[in-house]
Amino acid sequence: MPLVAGVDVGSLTTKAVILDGDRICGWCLRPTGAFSQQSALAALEEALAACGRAREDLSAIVATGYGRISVPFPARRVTEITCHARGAWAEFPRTRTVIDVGGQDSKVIRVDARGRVTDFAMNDKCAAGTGRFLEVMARALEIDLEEMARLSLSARGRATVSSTCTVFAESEVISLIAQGRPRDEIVRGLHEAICDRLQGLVARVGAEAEITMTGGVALNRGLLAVLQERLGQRINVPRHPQLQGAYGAALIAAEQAA
Amino acid sequence: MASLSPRTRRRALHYALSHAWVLSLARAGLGLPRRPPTEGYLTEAVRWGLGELAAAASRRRPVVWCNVALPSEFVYGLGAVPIMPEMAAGFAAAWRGAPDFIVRADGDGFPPDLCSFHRCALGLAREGWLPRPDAVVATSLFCDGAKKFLAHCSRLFGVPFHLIDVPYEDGSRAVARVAARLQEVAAALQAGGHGFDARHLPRSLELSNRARQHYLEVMRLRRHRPAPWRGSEALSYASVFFMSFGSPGGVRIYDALRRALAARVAGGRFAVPRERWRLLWLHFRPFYPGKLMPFLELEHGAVIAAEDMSHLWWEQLDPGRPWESLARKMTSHFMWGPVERRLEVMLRLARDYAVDGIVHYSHWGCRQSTGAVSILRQAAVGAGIPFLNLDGDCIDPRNGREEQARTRLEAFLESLPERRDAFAAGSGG
Ligand code: SF4
Repeated sequence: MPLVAGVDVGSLTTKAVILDGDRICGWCLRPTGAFSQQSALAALEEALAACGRAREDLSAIVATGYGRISVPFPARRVTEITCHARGAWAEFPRTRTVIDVGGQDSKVIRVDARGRVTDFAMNDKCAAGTGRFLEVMARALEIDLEEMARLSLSARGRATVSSTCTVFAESEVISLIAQGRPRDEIVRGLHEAICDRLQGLVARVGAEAEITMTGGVALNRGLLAVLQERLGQRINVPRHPQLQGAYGAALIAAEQAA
Repeated sequence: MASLSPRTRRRALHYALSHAWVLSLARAGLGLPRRPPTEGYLTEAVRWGLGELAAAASRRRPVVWCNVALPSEFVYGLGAVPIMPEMAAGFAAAWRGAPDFIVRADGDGFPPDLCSFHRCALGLAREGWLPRPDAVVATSLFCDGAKKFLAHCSRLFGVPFHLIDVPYEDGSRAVARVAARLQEVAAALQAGGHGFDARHLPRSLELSNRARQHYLEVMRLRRHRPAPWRGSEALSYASVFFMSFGSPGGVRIYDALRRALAARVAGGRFAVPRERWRLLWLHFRPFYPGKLMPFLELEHGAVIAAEDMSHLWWEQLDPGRPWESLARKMTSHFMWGPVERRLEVMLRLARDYAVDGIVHYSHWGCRQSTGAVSILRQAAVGAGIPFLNLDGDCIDPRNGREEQARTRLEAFLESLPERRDAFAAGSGG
């Protein structure tokens, strides 16, 4: 079985997955930081080290994510849209719609029965409705992302937060705190705002069941609950949603190596 | 020009000094790489453009500012020079001057939501980069912003403004109404002095017909697989397409282009090294220099085989019945009237040029085109043709989001099935 790698250089985090046949034998997730090339290389090396292998053992590498163009090693480049679709479909073969909330963009992807992308929609212009948005808001609220999920699930009301601009939304959050609005309601409002945007994207391509959510935000149970309620469907969450792009990339690399 | 930022002046100066500037200016306007011309059509286009500019600047002929939907034959037919400020904005974008001109227009109180073709054109007008108009003529055809922008320009220069309203529904009554209005406007222009003279009309129509014959052949040659001309270049010739019909230059340009493409097809020289996909492009492209077009066509071999904006939609004109002919050209415009017209054109072009996918470039602020996207998408998908809507800005690179656009285009291409009959250039098709 050829050993292959998928490297997903995102705006916030860089992920690498090493596949030995159909088994993930090593992986790594690290912050991208200011130097995406170094971080791509480091992620790949760490993932290889985790399974005791070296770069020479790899038969193929696929790079994805916004930094795919400049990875400092030979790799085929495939967009994160195709890779997330492939990764989600491999874990949940009945997936027909993939929702990926990444660091600076969110996307909704339609896939066919063979895991091929048939249509997609992405957020435009602003990071509102993305992982970065949640991060900024968590900082404004002085809580961590885990706490955000917990607060959202227990909220009884919701504050209204604008979903069009991260900077404006942040100042809205600050004034809501100043008005004494309970934090759980603010968090719930933020999740609703993200889901407004996601629902719009879903509507653009159509939400055919099953739906699978990828990206680190899928671990936010609070947001997931709001989204499931909005879409009226259960949403699959992979074991390692943050790695799904890199996993999809590795699967494509495996096809190439085969 | 004094109020322009030093940066813009520096760029313009640098531009003029660092090139054999005549051809280079034209090259930039046409979005071409900086190399000497090898085929005659560019030279003809430059000769025509400079000739018209010289005639306008020296006031040898009167100058009409108009929008791209006014048939240029009408203006040439009155012995005048057509200046389309929207197209001038494309040139400004090509040499990276657009943002500074846009800022100038923002100072006039135009909101950033307004189409950047108009905001940039207004900056150009304000700064005196365009030959002063003797009259402004707008048509109601497809772009509402254009009417208002041109009305604003007419006030700016204190010259008369004429609107030619085109009914939404085609038909003989619409043709009669537009023909009568064209005559009225021509009469008003002639009465206003400046040397407007409608006796040029039959010749203008006759020249337009000759150019049209060449252009039909250009379109036929472009159906060849692999494609002999890159659509990104074809779109860079939009100003020629909208402004040269009715002039002797138009005939020469399209004759030269026809010959160049025929020679390419005969010699097996094609637009991209390896044609993997053929695309239909709807609306304009970004006119500022960037990586998007080379990335699409050269790197990925996804050639733009056809564009709706540069396809020839009108019937042969009748020099014996000039008003009706021009009216018919306007009332039958594919971007006007019920959306079915545009759908029909899209599907026909997709079929005739054997495309694998359709890309609609949604230019920021352009409601008339983006308003139809959903219907266009449904029709394309219904016909089994993948469709991508790409958001961006044709003029203002600050709104262009090249990296995002690149990812979307790339993902779109990844989703297209690889052509089984992918061509390598030189295979002779
Ligand atoms: S891009 Fe749209 S809004 Fe702008 S000039 Fe053209 S038609 Fe008008």
